Amino acid sequence: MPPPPNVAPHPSPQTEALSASYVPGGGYDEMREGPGQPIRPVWSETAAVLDRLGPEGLEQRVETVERLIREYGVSYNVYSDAGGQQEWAMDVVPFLLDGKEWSLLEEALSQRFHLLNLILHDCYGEQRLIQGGRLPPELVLGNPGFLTPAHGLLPQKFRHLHLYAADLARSADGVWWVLSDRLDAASGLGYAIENRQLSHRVMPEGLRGQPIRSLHPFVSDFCDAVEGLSPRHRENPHVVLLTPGPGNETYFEHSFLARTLGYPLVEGDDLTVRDGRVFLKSISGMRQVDVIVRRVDSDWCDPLELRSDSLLGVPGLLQAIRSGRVAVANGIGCGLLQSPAISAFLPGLCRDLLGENLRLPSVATWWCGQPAERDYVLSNLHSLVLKSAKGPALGPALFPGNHSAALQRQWRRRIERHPGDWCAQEFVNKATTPLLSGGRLHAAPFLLRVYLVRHQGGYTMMPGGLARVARGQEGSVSMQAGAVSKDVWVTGLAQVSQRERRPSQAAPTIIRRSAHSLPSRTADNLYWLGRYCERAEARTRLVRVLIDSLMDESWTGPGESIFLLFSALMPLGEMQNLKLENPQGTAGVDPDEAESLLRRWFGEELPGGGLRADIASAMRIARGVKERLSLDAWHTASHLDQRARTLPPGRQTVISDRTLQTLDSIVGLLSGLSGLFMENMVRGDGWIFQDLGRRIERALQMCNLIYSTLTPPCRNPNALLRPLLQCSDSLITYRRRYFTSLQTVSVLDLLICDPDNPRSIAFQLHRIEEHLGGLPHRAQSHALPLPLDKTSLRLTSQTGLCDVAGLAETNRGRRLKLARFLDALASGLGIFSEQLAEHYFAITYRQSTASAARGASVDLA
Amino acid sequence: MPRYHIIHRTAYKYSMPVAISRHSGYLKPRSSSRQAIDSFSIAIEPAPAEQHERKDYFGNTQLHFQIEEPHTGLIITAESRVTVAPPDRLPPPPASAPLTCRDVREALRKDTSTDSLSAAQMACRSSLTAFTDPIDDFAAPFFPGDRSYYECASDLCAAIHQQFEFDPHATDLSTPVTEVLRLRRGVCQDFAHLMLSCLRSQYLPARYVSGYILTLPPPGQSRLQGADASHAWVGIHLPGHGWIDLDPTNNLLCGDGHVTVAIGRDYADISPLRGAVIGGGTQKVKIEVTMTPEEEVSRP
Repeated sequence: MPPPPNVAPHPSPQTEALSASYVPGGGYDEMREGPGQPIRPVWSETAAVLDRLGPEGLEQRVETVERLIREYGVSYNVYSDAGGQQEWAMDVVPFLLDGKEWSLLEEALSQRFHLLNLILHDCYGEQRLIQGGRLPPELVLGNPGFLTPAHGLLPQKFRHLHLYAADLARSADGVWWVLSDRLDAASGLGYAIENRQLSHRVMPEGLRGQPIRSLHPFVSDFCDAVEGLSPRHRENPHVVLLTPGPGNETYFEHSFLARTLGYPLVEGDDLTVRDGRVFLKSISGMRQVDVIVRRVDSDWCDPLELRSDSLLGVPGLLQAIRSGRVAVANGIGCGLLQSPAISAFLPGLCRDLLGENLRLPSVATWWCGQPAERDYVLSNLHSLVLKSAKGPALGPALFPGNHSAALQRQWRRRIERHPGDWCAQEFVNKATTPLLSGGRLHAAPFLLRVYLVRHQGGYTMMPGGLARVARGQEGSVSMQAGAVSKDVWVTGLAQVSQRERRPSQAAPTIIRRSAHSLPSRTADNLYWLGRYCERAEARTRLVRVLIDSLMDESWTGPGESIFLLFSALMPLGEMQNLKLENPQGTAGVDPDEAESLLRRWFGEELPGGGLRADIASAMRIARGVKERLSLDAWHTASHLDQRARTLPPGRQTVISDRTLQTLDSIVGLLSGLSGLFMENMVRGDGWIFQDLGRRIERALQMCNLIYSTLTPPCRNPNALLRPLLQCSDSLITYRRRYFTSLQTVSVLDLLICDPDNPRSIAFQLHRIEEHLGGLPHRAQSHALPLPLDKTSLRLTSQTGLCDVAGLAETNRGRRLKLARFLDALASGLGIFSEQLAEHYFAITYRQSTASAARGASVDLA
Repeated sequence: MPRYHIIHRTAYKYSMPVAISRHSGYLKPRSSSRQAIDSFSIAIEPAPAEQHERKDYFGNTQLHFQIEEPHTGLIITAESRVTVAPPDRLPPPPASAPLTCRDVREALRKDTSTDSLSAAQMACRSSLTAFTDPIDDFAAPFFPGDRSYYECASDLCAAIHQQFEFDPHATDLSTPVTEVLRLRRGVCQDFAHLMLSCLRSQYLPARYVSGYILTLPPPGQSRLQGADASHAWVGIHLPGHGWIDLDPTNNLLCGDGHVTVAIGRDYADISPLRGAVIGGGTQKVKIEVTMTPEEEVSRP
């Protein structure tokens, strides 16, 4: 990656400095105290950096950040009928927070964190707050977020909340407010860390030129906190990150966090409960899990006690938590306090429980379940924000003032009918912060999400966070609705306080040579990643040789060999119109038909046609194992994805130089990817499965290629040997070895039996055998060989013992022995692949049997 | 006092082997002032690798078990002997409890005792009950504020019985209660959910009860084994008196012919059996309930 462009030493004197031309919003502005007023001290250094860069410099940074986001694949899934992914958006201009102000927020939110933990403990325990009239029963007991099976689940105090996120807004008069609390499975932490990594790339001057607090200590506190929950209290506990899967809105950050924190990313199906313990199904058997960091919402975590339609959870998880043998962060049921109406009661609860005033107020909230509050809401409906009062999943906020009188009447009626379902909040006129757009800074309203962790009995706030800025004054700050995110910079050096991490207390570094054992699902994915990459590479090479041959005029004569190359790509039935019989008795190929066939092949109109599907499958799997791939491998993969989009059929002729160039670069990227796997992936089980996939696919593709080209009768068989060697990248090897013209026997020996040719079938089979020796089943059951060992052995000996001269023999032009040999080999490889899957992957999917015992056929009357 | 012998047998058949399965459920009758559990046993075939019982949030006995050997069938047989109090020990007759709907709501608001709180929870919407305009419109005429809650609820119970047809094929477990109201058909679970939705949308406390009901064999014939099924009805809360059970499927004030297994906000809290299986292909389930008065059992 090239470094960002150098900063221009002097801004052009004609143009006004960016910061000088910035017009702050009408209320409080983060950068400037007011129109024509000076820049706030916290912004001075960053404003100077922006001015030095100027609009052109910043434009380059914007391009860089967009490119990096594409290459890192930072995205979030969009929930819509169309589905799909949306790229992340980050403004290169950060959000700045003064260190002192940050400390005040940390103190205030620590109090709130503590309070929320106490309330959760009471609601899921003795319920004194409800009995004492401090919390209305309807808001707790009648709240869909109150999960009765979680009652009594965590008898100890402070076991519910470990990570707490709050959405903050600053009002136009400069005061901070809590807009909402995110407790159940708060998202955004991964994006916040990712944003900081992006800032290091695109705004290094800003981060270097002033003391900006690092996020690392927080990440390490978070890991300490999570690992400290381990019921077995041993060093190096087994922690997993539970994700709903690649379909989830924020799957990107789940895989990003898993990689950053070093925990395996698992889905519900990967875990199983036995004897009150949770186990991860891995290729080396079951491994007990100590702590689950959960990104699955509470209600979906256990289909036996919570939502029975959930396929995301782990059946029996609650029972395992009850037995005290696994910890889950955050605790099940925390979403209860996310209900907006709860915040109306926090000031009173804070005085009751802590004897203090709530330091950071929630935005004013009225719960309509109380008569006076309901009356207030009904008389001020036009100026309030209306929300659904209950439930952890927040419904959309409504702005009655923006709607017709008829609609307002309808809402009024609904409030009157079921007042307890509604609450209203004050509309916050938000402060503004500069947003870069069109080479200028514009004032835009924002929301700030901050994260706190409970650690060693205290609370720590991340010196950073995720700011979201609406494009436009009144726009939405939801990323789904196209808002822009900002990295949050907290200025000032870390103060040494009791909350800061004490390095002297840090545990001695544990060197982990071998990572935690590989989840079966990941092994399965890596295996297929290897196979699809290899398949794409083999087919790209083949179609490249074919197009090259079609463009080479000297090839117009022996059309028959081209015909056979075609047959390696598509079923013979599709090729009926391809052959032209020349009057001389030699066969040719109809160029128009060749073009049309290839166009259909690329367009995936032919069975098994095209390259895009293979590359798309490889990309889909790569996204699912992203936390296992190095960044470089990921960059190469995303280049590949982009390049694959320029493949035919476009408007141009398929048989053209342009296609050849595209194919060349795809072969280059695929080889680059395989090189990165070879060089940069730790030689653990994951790598072995990836490479097994490659080896099996390469052997299968070779069988197919030799079968299609060398077994049918051909009037000029030697004409095929050269393209065959080209397809398998073995032409140079051949030339160095034989110095002769091409001969079938030598070519077959090189491509099938030569143990030193990395493209030969024998070479693949030897690697497979080696890999099997390195896999976990050896260590455990060194007694009997498994069926897959036997298959591998059989394949190796078949190949090693084969009589190449015999295989090359023809019988009326056909090579029947070769055909039989290749058939047996290919079916043996297929069996091996199935045996491998059965032994190591064996992911069978769960179903529910909720349809029991329904309906009494009783009618006595 | 009537004593019953109840056998509740659930048999699953799978088209493919199940590698491992985990189940939870409510099969053990509650003991209360109205009913005593003389004996209870459960037989699971194949034998589970683990099995637990716990008291849930509502005081019911929740059963958990896991089967770890491959199987293509699973049979769970729960056998209970229960003594039910005769009618004169039931809660005071409605006439002596002239609590109006308004009184009931008021009592819930003011009283913060544990009993009242658990009743307050039962006045809230739950996952299988609904508050919609059609439900409101159907329910509202039954509940003028100044009428006795018990009488209103009894009228509603009778109306559901009269206006709705018992039809096991019209609905299934996923049919929402609003659809039941539109179809005017369903089974006991549907009628219980509908009645609960009506009562709760009026802020009146009512809970879901699952259990068994004694059916009478046709004259001259003996009781058919396994012909019955598990049943469901509704309990309404009268502050100061406790819970009174009404059966909208049969338009009955529940007496000594009903045996309570579990109580909850709705079916989702206390479904008799829930499971998660790995493998199994397609599955079939067959449920048989036989409830016999003890005197018949002991007869030679």
